[in-house]
Amino acid sequence: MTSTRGLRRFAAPSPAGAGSGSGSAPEPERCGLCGVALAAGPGAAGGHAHLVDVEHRSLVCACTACALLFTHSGAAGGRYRTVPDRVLRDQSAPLTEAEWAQLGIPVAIAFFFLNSALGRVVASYPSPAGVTECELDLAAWDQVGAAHPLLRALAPDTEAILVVARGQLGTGDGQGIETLLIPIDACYELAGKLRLNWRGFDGGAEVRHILATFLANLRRRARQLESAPTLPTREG
Amino acid sequence: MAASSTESSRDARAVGEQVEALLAELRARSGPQAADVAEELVGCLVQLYGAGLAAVMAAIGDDTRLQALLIADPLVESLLLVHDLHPLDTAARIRRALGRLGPGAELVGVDDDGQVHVKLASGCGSTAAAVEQAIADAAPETSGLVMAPRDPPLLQIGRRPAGAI
Repeated sequence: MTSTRGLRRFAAPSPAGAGSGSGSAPEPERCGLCGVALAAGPGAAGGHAHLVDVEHRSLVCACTACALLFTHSGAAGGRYRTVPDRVLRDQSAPLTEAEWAQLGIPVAIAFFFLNSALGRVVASYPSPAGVTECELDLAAWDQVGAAHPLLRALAPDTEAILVVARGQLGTGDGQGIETLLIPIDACYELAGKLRLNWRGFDGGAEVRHILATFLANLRRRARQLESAPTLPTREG
Repeated sequence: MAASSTESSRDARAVGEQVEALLAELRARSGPQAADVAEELVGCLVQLYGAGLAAVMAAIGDDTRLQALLIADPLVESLLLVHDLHPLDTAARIRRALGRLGPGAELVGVDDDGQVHVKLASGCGSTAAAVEQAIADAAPETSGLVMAPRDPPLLQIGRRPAGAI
């Protein structure tokens, strides 16, 4: 800026309202705490972290620096909790069809998370209308959890147990019940993508493709649950 | 920084640089969201006085004597340039600026992309830099400068494709 070009950028009204002279560039996602611009997309693959706002039951985008502040459950009076980026599976004790049936979930893919405000486990599933909560037999959950250490390794509010009944899914993914412990922002990422791309009665080919890619990514990231459940941490 | 503002406020270029520096300071100190609001604020004020200047220029109309009086003042001229309100067109302003530099450079034309094409009589490097600065000051709405080689064959620049008007 060595000339009157400097002030010229203010002379025309910018359609986006504000922006650093870049004109029509879309507003970047920002850290909900410090306001710094973030890399697009959730998850560990080049994206940014999320915090769970326990008080308002919402997800907040966060830069790495802010996310690291809230990895301890006591930080900020417990209001914010960083979503860990671990994905765990327990190949030594997969859920059986009978146990899945015992939970009484009417869909082929569901996630379960520990809501610390309610003090209990909540079951939800992705649907064309977004995330839908469904009834869960808590006694049955406790019973299944007693036999599966993976279900007990769940960190409150920030992680979820994803259960996929592969036979019913229609992605040609084989049989059996797949159980993964995943970051809760991944659940919302999946629910958002499905909602956005849902076509017709069963979602359509695009939705099946999204689901298959989502599961393949999680499987690649998944590590075996260690025998003693450990506290989740965020790497990087 | 407040002490220097009185002398530098006679120059739109210096004020533009000062505004950028202050915005950068705000961005570093109070974060990007505060800085974005400040950018909008600056835009608001610049657009307000720009609208005022536009009304003044509309009131003057084609009165060349008054126009000449206004652009004789460097501050007024620089503000008219900020708002694309200068009474002279782009080519006339560039010719005037090049004329002040001396006989070294000649305007060939301004093409549809806003690129200024200039032919240099002497290929001296410092002349090129001075020409570039003079054009950036006199015609900030242009997007770049293309120096034609010395003694080129006749150029046909700035012609629109037929029917594109």
